[in-house]
Amino acid sequence: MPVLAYCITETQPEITVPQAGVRGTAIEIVRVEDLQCFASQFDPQDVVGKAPIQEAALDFNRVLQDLLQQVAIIPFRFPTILTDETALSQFLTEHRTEYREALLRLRNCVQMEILLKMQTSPNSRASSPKSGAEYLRGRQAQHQYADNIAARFREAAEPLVKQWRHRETAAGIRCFALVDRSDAPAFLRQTKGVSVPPESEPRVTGPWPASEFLKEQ
Amino acid sequence: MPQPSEDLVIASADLDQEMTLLDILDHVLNAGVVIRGSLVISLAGVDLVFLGLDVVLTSVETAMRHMRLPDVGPPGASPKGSQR
Repeated sequence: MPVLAYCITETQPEITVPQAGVRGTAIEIVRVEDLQCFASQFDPQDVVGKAPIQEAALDFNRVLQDLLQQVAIIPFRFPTILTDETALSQFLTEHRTEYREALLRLRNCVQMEILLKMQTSPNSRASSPKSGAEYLRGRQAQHQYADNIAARFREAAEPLVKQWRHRETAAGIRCFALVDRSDAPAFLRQTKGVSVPPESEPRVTGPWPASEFLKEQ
Repeated sequence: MPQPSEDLVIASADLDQEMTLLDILDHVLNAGVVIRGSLVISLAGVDLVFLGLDVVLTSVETAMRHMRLPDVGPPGASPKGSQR
């Protein structure tokens, strides 16, 4: 039967397995050496057909958050469905070196995020650009504006941040901070106090699995 | 509507449940390990390849992006879903 994969962790006997997975399914552990993967038997019809995908995605998130509270995890993107447990074991075996290294490096860490809308300040906001050059200048101004705001957040959280990455998305600039899991509440407190223009609509969220830091730069 | 996990904190000046939900969906659909393959799932005698699921994900992601940025253009103009 196909299996839905949730996440990979280091093998630790003290981890409490969440009571239920997506659609109330039982969660099973597939172990390969010192790695373990949480998965549940899954009827793909539940996702493709009748069940609301949003509900299933929230069930999936609950499993991830439950495990993240206990240990560092490498999540799978929802829905990752493999043909059976053997295929999952094979995948783990093929990638065990990189996942073991990542979990060791991220063992006590979580990811915090700041989303900033990429807008110019109200004073410099231009009307529709009349040329390509004007459009590009406007985009450059937006980047600089968002970068400056991101820098304020970084500065405020600097003592807590082990690594910082950011990238542009359609929604704005996304900043990712890798912090010790015990520092997550302090990160939220310190970034909440950052004074920024309201039009940047900053959103600070976390803790999340450290997905952005799986690979070393 | 299911409630988001209480352990996940969303700090925002205009916190509302819909955006919190979008944050969570954005993460589970777009963050994490992606297995690319040619997995074939049969449903009611019809073979559905994994690409079929990917199409669902892309449309959800696109929908979320448009809920955040209503002025970015028609859905057909968006690139295919980003994968990390």
